[in-house]
Formats: sequence, C-alpha cells, structure tokens
Amino acid sequence: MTGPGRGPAIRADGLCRSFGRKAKVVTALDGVSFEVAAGEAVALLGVNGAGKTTLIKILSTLLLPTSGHASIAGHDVVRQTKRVRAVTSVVFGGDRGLYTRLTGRDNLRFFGMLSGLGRGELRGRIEAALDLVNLTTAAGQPVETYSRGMRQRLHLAIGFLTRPQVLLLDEPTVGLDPVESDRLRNAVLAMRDEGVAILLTSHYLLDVEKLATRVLLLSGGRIRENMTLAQFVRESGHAATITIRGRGTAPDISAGQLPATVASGTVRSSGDRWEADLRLREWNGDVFHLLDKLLMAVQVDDVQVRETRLEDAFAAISAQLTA
Amino acid sequence: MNRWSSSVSVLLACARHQILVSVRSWHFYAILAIVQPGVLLLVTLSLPRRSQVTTYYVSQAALGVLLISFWSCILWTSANILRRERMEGTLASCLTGVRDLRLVLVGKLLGTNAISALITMLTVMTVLAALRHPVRFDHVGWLVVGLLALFLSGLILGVGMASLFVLSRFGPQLSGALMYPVFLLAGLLTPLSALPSGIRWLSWGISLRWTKTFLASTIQSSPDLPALGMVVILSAGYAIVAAVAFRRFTMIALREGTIDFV
Repeated sequence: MTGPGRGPAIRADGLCRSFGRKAKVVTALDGVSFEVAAGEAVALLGVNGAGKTTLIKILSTLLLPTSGHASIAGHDVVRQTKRVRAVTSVVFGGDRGLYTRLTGRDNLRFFGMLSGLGRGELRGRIEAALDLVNLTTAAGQPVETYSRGMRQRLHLAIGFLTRPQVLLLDEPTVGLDPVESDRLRNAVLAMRDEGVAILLTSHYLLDVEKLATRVLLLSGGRIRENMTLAQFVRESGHAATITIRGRGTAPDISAGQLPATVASGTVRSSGDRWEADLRLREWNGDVFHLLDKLLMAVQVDDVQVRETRLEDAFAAISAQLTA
Repeated sequence: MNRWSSSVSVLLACARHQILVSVRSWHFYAILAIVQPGVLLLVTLSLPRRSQVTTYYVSQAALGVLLISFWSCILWTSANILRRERMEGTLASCLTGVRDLRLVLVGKLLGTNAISALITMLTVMTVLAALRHPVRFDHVGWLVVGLLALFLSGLILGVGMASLFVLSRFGPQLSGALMYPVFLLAGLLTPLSALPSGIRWLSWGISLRWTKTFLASTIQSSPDLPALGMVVILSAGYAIVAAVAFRRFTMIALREGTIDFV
C-alpha cells in the first residue's frame, strides 16, 4: 500500500544524470525507467560504474537528476523531498556514515530522532533494532572499536528503526559473516513480506538470490534487463553445469558429439588428469543416458552437478553487454 | 506534540548529541577553552604593576579574554562542523532524515557553543579565584543580556560560516586567517583608534565589536543600549546571509552530488 494514487512504491521515468561540464561530461544514468511495487524486492545489478549508486542517491533525495522524474510512494523525489524521506529508509553501508566516537546506542538515538521518532518511541525501537542485528552487548561501546561487520550491522539497525514503505539498500551484507548475513537477509525478507518495497544493490549475488524477486541490470547508465530472477538465470543459456573429473583418456565432447540438450562442453587436461564441464540447457532424464554413454569407456573419479547460479548468469550477460 | 515543542525537542537532541561528540574530542576544548583563556588572563593580569590591577581593570580583562576565547571556539567549530560531517559520511544521513537540516545544524552549534561558553567561563572564573582578583559589574542583569546576545550572535554567525566554509576546500584555513583580523576589528587586541582610518569602518560590521562595547558598559556607567541594538541588527543581517549560504550550500551539494564526498 503506497501513497497518492496507490501506484508503484518506486517509479523512475526517463531518469538521466550526468556529471561534469562541456567536453568532460560523464553520463551516469541515461533514460532509466522502472517500477517497484509494494512488497516487491528488486535487485539492481551492474558492474562498478554502471550507475547503481547514482540511482540510489537520486531516489534517496541526495542528488538531483539532470532530467526525468522519480517518485517514492507517489511523492516526487525533487519537489517533495520531505515526504519522500518520511517513507524511505536508506542503508548506505561501509565504514563511513557513523559517529565513530559515540556508542552504537548514541548513534541509533540520534539517527532515530532524525527519522522522526519521538523520545518515547525511540527507546523500544532502539532495543528491538539492536536485537535484530545482534548488537545489544556491544551497543554501549564506541563505534571506533567496532569491526567492519559490526559497523555494517549498526547501519542496518539504523535502517530498521523506522517502519518505512520503501527500503533502499546499498550493499547490505558487505563485511558480514555468513551467519549474520543470513540473519539480516531474514530480517529484510520479513520487511518485504510486510509490504515494504525494497531496492537493493549488492555484489554478493547470494543476497540477490535470497532476497530479490526481480532483477534490473544496469549497464552504461541504462536498464538493459528487467526480468524475474528465474528469467534472468535462464538468460545465461544453461540451467546446470556437470563437472566430471577423471584420469587417463578424456571423453570426446566435441560439439558434434553432444546432443541438443547440452549447450556447450569443455575439457581441460593436466598430465594424466582431466576435467570436463557440460553446460545443460535443461535438466531432464536424458542427461543420465548421455552421461552413461559418454563416460562408459573412461575412468571417472568424481561427478558434480551444480545448478546455474546468479553469478553465472550475471557473468554471461555482462560479457554479452560488454561485447 | 506541536510544531514548536517538536522543534525545541530536535534542537535539544542535536545539542545533546554534539555535546557528546565534543566531550570525546576534549583536546580541542582543552586548548581553546582552557589553555587559551587561562594563559591570556594570566598574562593580562601579571603584566601591569599590582597597583594598576584594579577591579575595573580585572573586570575588563576578564570580559576581553572571554570574548576572544569564545569567539575563537565559534570560528573553529562552526567552520568545521559541516565539513567534518561530510568527511565522516554522516552529512548524507542527516539530510535524508525528516528533520530540517537547518534545525539540526543550529542544534549542533547550540551544543558545541554551549560547551565552549561554559568551559571558557569556568576557566576565567577559576583563574580569577586562584589569583584572588575580584570582578565587579554594576549592571549584572544587562551583563547576562549581553552574554546571551554574544551567544546568539555567535550561533547565527556559526550557521553562516559552516555553510560558507563547506563550499570551500579551504574552510579551516579561512577560519584561521579570519580570526585575528576579526579580533583587531572588534578592538580586542588594540584600541580601534589605533587602526588605520581606511579600514576602521569595517569594524561597524563586526557584531563582536558592539558586543564588547555593550558588555564593557555594564561594568560601570550606564548600559550602552545603542551598542546592543547594533548587535541585534548585525545578527539579523548575519541570519539573512546564513540562510542564503545554507540554501546555496544544499543546492550545490544536491546538484553536484557532493553531499558525502570529501
């Protein structure tokens, strides 16, 4: 449920942003348009310099677009900044953005106050947020004594203080160990399930796999792909990879020998040992027949089947875009 | 909670926050609000012959030292407060909150100026008590009014300087370079009559000069109310400049995307 007109929680329409003047103009965003509905989590993917942070900054009212429009819960990010800020939580991770000489609790108290929480509300929310990110015992220590992961957790606790309609997350799990990453993903998922619209950028594609329902691929300042996570993975051209390790003579997997269900195959040899990769277009029962036939006459040490991950898809699509 | 009490609450919360930050960077205050006024007062009171150190002289010296030290703190802290926030990456978070950044900045300056003023006054009183030099003010009520005017004028000037200096890479250097010319033009280092007539007129635009004149008048004689009026008028002028500078700073920062860049 969002603001005026109950439209999308996040809407960008022809957003452009360039930096510099005259001959040195760099275009960071070039006609970016997309929508994110309430209760939807969308991942913004792209290589460094693709324009992800610029887009997040515009949506969080920290940067003016050169042209185009964007709105959060129906409020224009240029003309209605106060309303936008009232319904948005922004988490910029990293080592900066905290008062390092103050304690974690002091930081939460200050940023909570800035988010519009009253003194009475603050106390309960601070303790709940600290508990959520597992930082209660360290809350009384100065932030300058925190590890990188603890600082990141404090950033997230600040983002969780309010009940926003839109959550903008920039690299939410950077510096966190797997246990904490998982705990925080669950917290974000709970917000998504409560109807919060989430736009996240992350270089950890596991975050995207766990949290996002849709993917926007940003390249050269433009949205190149806008599709569901499953569609995005399929774009890589294969559903799974079978890796076979063996000794002696390697199997013949040249293109002419492979059935149509195999997208490609490669063999790497090192002395007596070899390793073969078969990338399957789809996973079905014929694959076992293929393996049976292919490996009948060779000595096999190990066979591993790996479902195609988001990073495979990202690498494949990024390579296509770069080419 | 109505709008006014909400604003006051934000001001106080920001002031408290900045006091916490200030307490943890106590070295700065130790130099500007303890060592500086302590040494200045000791020198001022020990240079003349004992017979010349009258209660009137001591009162004047105490006021002068208080003005110099308090103004030094304002110039340094105000010049750097937004720059420091930007360097630490906290300015972006301050801006994305729902509270008005002007209110946040005023609250923070309120906190830092309050702690500067308090420590400076305590230092001056401690040195005077240790040296057993009494002070006397004939118009204590007007003295309090003058000190309040000094505080508010400094606060307003601080907002303007914080906004102006964040636009320049050389904020700290500019604040350092401005300090002694301002003291000279306020008549705190030499009498104004000793300044060349070509630059003496500049002192009319310095509220510190009029604050000093007014505060000095509360020691003896009758309070110089026109001087207090000048403090009010100049502070109003500073407020307009501060509002324009603040608006310009935020617009440039949002346009150029430099809100969280060093």
